[in-house]
Amino acid sequence: MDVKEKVRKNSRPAGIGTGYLSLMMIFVTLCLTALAALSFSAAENGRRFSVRSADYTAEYYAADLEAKRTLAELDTIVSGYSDYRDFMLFAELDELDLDGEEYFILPDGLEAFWETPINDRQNISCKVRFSADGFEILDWRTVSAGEMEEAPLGVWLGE
Amino acid sequence: MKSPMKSVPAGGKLNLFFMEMIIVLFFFSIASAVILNAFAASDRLSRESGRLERMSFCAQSAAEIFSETGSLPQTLEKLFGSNSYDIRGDEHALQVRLPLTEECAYSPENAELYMLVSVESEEPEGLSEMHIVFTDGSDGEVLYEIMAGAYLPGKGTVS
Repeated sequence: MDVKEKVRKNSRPAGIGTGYLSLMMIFVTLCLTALAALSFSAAENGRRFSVRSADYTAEYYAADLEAKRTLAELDTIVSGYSDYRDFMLFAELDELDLDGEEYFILPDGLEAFWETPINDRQNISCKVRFSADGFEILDWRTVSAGEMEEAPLGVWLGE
Repeated sequence: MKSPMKSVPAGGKLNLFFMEMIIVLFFFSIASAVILNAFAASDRLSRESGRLERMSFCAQSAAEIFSETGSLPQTLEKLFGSNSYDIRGDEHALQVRLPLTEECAYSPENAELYMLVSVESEEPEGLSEMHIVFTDGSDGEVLYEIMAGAYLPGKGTVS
């Protein structure tokens, strides 16, 4: 047996062997599946965030409208009185039964404070000053609902 | 003349290779169809969330402008520029239907969305409520809805 024949017998056949194609297909399919899953997951997260954001916007402006209705009612009641110490004024204001309502009599007007709920977690906090010239909005902001009352920590005081 | 069949190696290795290739292509085509569907779904979700965000921003801008001006024509002018809008109604209720593009730009020629804006005056005087509804241009499905309001006591009825 000469050298050429030995080389021909020991050498592998040229081209892709059986099974390599299947392995490549599995690898490519796995890569594409992973990319598709990641892409879908990112898109779904983005959509969920957009829906939440859009829902919150709708909730906020609905609460804002409700707060403006309350302001209009308060303005109508208060503008009917020149003396802000009149007990009839407070009787009418109490009938509104607002959340967290507080009224402060000032030398030249009346300050009203109330909260309108946006959702379970947030409120619009409103503070308005009424006077003979009309009303002035002092505060109109979003606050978290159900603020925790200050409670002492259970720390041993050495007694 | 040499026959082309003679170039096929003995032992059926090429036949095996082609059989594997056919099986691989079959499974790959099925997997590709599923993966392409996943990519298409994520693209659709992404487009929907983008559109919802734009509608939300547009409604938010309209609500903010309306709460300052209390006027529908002024709100539309500041939001979409000075065009001739077909505003219908009387002094207590106004309504307009605006054709918009996907980017929420006013476009009577290319209506992909519709923004229905209605404004009603409420009691007491100066309080007005704005209702914005976005609908799909093709099937009229409601996509987004928001309510907002304005309280401008000196302003009177809606304008």
